[in-house]
Amino acid sequence: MTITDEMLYEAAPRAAELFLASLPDRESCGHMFSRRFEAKMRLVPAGKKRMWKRALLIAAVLAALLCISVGAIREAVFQVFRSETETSGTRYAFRTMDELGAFQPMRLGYLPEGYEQTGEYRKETETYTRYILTFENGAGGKFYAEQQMTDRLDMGFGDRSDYTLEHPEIHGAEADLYHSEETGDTLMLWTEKEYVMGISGALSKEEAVRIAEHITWDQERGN
Amino acid sequence: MTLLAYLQAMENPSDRTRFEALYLAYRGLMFHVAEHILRNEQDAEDAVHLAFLKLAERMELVPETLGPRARALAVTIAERKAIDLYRAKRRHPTADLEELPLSYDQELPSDGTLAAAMAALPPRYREVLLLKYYNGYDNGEIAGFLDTTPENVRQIIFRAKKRLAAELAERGENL
Repeated sequence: MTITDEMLYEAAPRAAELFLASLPDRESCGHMFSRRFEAKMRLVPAGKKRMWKRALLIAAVLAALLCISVGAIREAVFQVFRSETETSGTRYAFRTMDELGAFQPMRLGYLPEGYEQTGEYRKETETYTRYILTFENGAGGKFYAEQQMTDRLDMGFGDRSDYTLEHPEIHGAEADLYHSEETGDTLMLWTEKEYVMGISGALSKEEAVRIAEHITWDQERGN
Repeated sequence: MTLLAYLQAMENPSDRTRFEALYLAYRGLMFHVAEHILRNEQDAEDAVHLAFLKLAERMELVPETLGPRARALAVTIAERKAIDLYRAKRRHPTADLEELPLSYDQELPSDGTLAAAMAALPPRYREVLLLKYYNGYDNGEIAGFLDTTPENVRQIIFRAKKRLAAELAERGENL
């Protein structure tokens, strides 16, 4: 008896159905994940999207009507909304109506001692460009610098209660700087020119700010 | 793994939205699968975390919509991460986990069909066969999901076919 690929392709849907049916249903899989887990899954919200949309809507209306910032509204090119709920964590929405220009890749004019660039990633589509540089120090230290050009970008983070939040100024714009004393991790988001910028990794707050302050734009490599 | 590394793994906002949907839909099930193997909540959460890292790395290969294929993939990756973690923690060979069928809440039927035999295979064989013949991944893609080599995937498929043939022959099934 020989089992062929064709036989397996034919049997596989039923096999998957049987296997999946042997698993518990969603209602039976309730588990309250620990704060440790949620902290590791920082990108991921625990709540429902509807709440996030509602929070964003409220933020936008408040900002428009009362001329106050929710999170922060920065340079004219960008509106940045930050909302926080107990269930959804922190959410960011970056919006711009401005015409996006040619993409000019960032260059880091300052690196903490021992660090050198070890990776470069660039992805372009009709609607956005992402550019990420990776830096390592050879002793386990690693951080990323990210630059995105897009007319809309949504980001979400889960529980950040173990992080402090500060708002240093980067080239005239207010950044959101998260730092965990426990892990040493730092995450900083800000907007500059027509870009959403991010720095993340095992950096001190001072190093992250200094890196951001020394970013320059590569004119020649722009599109 | 830092936040930006998660983001780096995802090509665009659509990928992030899909990742969030995957996370919300299947994290409980993935935990259940991992906890069934590891018998420890903290270890199970670690396995689920590792599974989501793997999925985030390969979002371009994750089904576009939630459904049986996405569910099968999420469970398979969680199961694999849990078994790998179990092996790493025990620091000795755990042939039982790899070689014996693993049943979760309900026993699998043994109706003598090839499909039932596939579903009841030990995890290593079932995982690879479902990823290839149900999810439609090639050997290289499967190797990426399971942290192995395409050659090892090919060998597992070869051995799984032999095992299925032997089991069905033993039952006297006529394919």
